[in-house]
Amino acid sequence: MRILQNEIADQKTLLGQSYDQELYEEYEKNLTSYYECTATCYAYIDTLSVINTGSFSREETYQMIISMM
Amino acid sequence: MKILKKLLAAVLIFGMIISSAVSVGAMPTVYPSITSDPGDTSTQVVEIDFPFKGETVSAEIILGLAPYYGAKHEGSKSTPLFGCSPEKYYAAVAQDPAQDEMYAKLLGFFTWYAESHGLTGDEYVELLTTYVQNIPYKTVGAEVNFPIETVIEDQGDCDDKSILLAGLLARSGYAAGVVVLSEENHMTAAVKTKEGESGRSKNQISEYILIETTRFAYIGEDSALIRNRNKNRTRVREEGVILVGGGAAAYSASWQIDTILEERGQIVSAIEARWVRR
Repeated sequence: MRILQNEIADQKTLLGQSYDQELYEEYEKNLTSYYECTATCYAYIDTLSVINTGSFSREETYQMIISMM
Repeated sequence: MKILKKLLAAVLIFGMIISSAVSVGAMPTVYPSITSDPGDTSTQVVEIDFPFKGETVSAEIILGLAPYYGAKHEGSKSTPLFGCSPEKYYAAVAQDPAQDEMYAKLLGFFTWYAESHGLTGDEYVELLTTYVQNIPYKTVGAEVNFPIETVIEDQGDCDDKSILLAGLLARSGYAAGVVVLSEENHMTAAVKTKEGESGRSKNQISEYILIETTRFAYIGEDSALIRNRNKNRTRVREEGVILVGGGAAAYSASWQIDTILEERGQIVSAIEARWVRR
């Protein structure tokens, strides 16, 4: 993710200096990939926060895990 | 003559050794005990406030301070030098009768809470566990504290909190105790486990499950200190547990926790894999 993030930033800088169709397509592809990855990670992090927080019910947490499998 | 003197000296030294051994052997084994002043009627309000199952468990419990001052009194925690049985030592700390009022009031509240919220037996164990885990962690000297000290002061370290939880569970009828993890210089509570109808029960090799008390952790979850060891470290046979009571009830939801923790491990790996990949 961090590598992707850096690559997107570099591509954005280059595109700001001069437009290149091929570079732009690569930039768009990376951006889509980055957003998808971020959404997946956030979903995982939400699940982790339920698992790691003691105030939730063990039974409900178990049912949530089972429904994800 | 010289030989005779040497012989006499040897006999004298031998006699002194024998006499010391006999007097040490005759010394009574003194375990920790609280002497309360019956004339002391001072009290303190103990506030209970912690999250559990999406709600906040809160109560104010008034406890007499005489047993607390008795526990604080010098000599109350005397450690027997010879013939000390760990079972008797920790049972004496956890179950001293001067703490009966404290246990009765705390468990009276928790039993009422469990009944009014329709908690199962396993959830009741989790309720007591969460209460103890939420007591702030603080190392208060090398000596183990009586549970009444941990409750009144609302603080404790691993052994103080583990003994309190073991005492609460034992008084609630559970087979419970403490486990000393010497290598880690750590202590946890432990409760008898009755595996559910999961396939895991077939491979069950031990009878007790560890409970980390210094922070939130599921029953049977590795504490930070014992992480990265083999998984069975969170399950121990009865001989590895210092029991503090004679209860027989057991916790039966550990198979669900195994599933939750397994999934958590996979989620963490998945996040790491996504984070480092291109």
